[in-house]
Amino acid sequence: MSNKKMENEIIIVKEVTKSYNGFTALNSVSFTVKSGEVYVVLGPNGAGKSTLFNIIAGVMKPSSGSVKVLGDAPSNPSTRLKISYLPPTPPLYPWLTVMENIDFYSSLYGLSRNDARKEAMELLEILGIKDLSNKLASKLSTGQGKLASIVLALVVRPELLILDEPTTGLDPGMRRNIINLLRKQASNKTTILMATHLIDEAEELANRVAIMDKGRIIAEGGVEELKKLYAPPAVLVIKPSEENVKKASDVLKRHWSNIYSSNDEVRLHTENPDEDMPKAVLMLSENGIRILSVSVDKPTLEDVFLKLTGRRLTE
Amino acid sequence: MRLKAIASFIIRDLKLIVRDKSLVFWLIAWPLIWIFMTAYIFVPPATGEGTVTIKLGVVNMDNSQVSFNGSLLITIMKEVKYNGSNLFNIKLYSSEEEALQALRKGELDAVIIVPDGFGYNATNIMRETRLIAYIGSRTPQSAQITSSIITNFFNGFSKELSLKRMDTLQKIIEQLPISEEGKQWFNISIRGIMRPLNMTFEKVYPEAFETRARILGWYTIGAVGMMFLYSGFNSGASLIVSEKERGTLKKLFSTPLTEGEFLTGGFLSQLTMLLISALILIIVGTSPVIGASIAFNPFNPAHLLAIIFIVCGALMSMSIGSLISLISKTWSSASNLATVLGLLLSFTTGVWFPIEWMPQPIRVLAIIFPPAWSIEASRRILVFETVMETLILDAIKIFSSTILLLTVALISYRTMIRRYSEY
Repeated sequence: MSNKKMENEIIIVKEVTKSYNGFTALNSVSFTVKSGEVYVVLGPNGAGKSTLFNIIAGVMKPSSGSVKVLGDAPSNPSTRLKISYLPPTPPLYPWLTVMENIDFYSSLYGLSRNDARKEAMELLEILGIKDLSNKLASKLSTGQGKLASIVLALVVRPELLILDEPTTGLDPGMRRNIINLLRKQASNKTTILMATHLIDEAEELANRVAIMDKGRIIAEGGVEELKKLYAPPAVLVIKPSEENVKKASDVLKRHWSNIYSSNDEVRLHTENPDEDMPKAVLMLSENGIRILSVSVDKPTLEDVFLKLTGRRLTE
Repeated sequence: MRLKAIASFIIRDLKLIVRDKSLVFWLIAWPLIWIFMTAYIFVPPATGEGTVTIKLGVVNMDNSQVSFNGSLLITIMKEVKYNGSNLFNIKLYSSEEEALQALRKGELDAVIIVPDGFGYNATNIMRETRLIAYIGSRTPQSAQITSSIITNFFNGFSKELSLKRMDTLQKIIEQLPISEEGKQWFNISIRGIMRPLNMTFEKVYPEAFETRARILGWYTIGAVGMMFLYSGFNSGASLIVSEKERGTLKKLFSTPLTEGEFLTGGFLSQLTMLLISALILIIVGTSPVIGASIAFNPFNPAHLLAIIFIVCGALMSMSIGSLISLISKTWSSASNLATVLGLLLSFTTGVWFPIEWMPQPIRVLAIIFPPAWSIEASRRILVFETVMETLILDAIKIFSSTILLLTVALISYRTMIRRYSEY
């Protein structure tokens, strides 16, 4: 590997396996993240995303394999100076105000209080929570805590930002604010490694996506590349009445193999939606299944995950 | 090691003192409650001035028609005063059975039976005089106090009776037809027979306990020790598990913070809180509200050594707390175990209650428990005003055990960090 290529690779994960108490949380995971990329790890809860992020952030050691971040071991303090990791739970001290929490963490990075506060105020303003700066963390709602934590992570101006489920539990407005802020960070050449189980978030932000399931990366690539490789040209989304979802799925499976059902819908992966839609509607009507809505959608990463695992991401 | 990172832990946790009410309670209010209780209940302002009055039932069976008899004894007992108060509150009973029934019911502290012939025997120099006393035992302490007062009174009474008898004998000897040397020999011999041991008792307190203020000084240092034990244990036990459960440990270890900075910062911030609390306790203890007397002169090397001993006490308590964290899976179990253990040890190792109050097997705890050494040594300096030369052995013991326990704490914390980084 040439030196130039190595310099460009901010994260190199090689054959990383993590086992504890007889359980394999990560199984021979390998990937690289390039400088300035937004690399999203998509997977359901329990896929091993957090374990992987803990190892990359240097707070956990792998059972085998190796991780290099910014050309060095992630546990090295000089490497950590350039990394900011945000765990899924807001790491706030409840007896401190938002700004005091920011003071504390930024001092660990050796930042001056004034610089950190100035930067923090700007970030708080962008996220629309400037008025919370003097509020005790214990008085914040879950969403407000998450937003404040994003500021904690960004205030140190990291080269690499590692975010584990940063928008989980947030309302759409808050989520939008965070996505906009992350886009801005990415445009400033900050490399972002983010874990999520939210499809739209991954599709909107990611340059590249790794799909994880049961401790393995089962697919990796650009969003469109993955769709091209694993998803059909179209998806027929049928919403029968709730009690008929399973029956509808069983009826359609008699004719098609790519049928995936969830609590409220049946997804049919199809090459030819114009032909398949009337056929499916007719079959369901003949079997006495009332249909609430039918639509032809473009495939999403959810469909990629369905294709690869046979399960939905949020199951 | 970066001082700024370490200082940020101290600043962070100092804010906790003003914002966390439960912490303020345990660090300051709880030991202050004990100091106040000591100052106003256990060692009240009138200590040494008041007396105990014994509720005494008397059954007088004496019918002696002589100058001194049972009735006169009762009159004397009614009149006896100590520090302006009656020593006995006497109630007469007609029968022994009736008096003992009242004693059993707890209506009396003691019963004295004056047998028939008491007066005759008392006034006859050749007879032995008998009295029977029954002591009530509502509590071991009350029985001890009652017994002691009655014994002292009748010892004094017996002494007076001896002197009267000797005077009477001397008068008889004067009448005998023997030489002066012989009379003198008789007098000395009789005195020796009557009072084989003429012992005088004077209460001499240690200088420190001469005044109530010094007693309160002893307890104020004890309150600091008690607070060190449960709060120090708690701080040590919670140092890592609290960060883990709060969800901050992973964030901390993803920053440039080193393990050494984390442990030093965490330990120093907890130590600062304990020392601030100790200072507040001493200030309140020595204020006019409590009135404790603690000798402190910043130019006296021994007094400065006492401060070092106090710091060692806090460090040792926190280090022991680190061991508690090893056996506790959650923050609340670590905290509960630390508080219970800390309070228990403060009451059994001579930190709060004097070691002399403890049964012999429990005293072993104080002998083997290093934080108690530092509190005891500090007391010897600040309350008993012990000189520097006598503290060398204490200093060696305290410093070496502090270093040893800090090393144990370091190993414990590192083990915990490794354990947490595995999952």
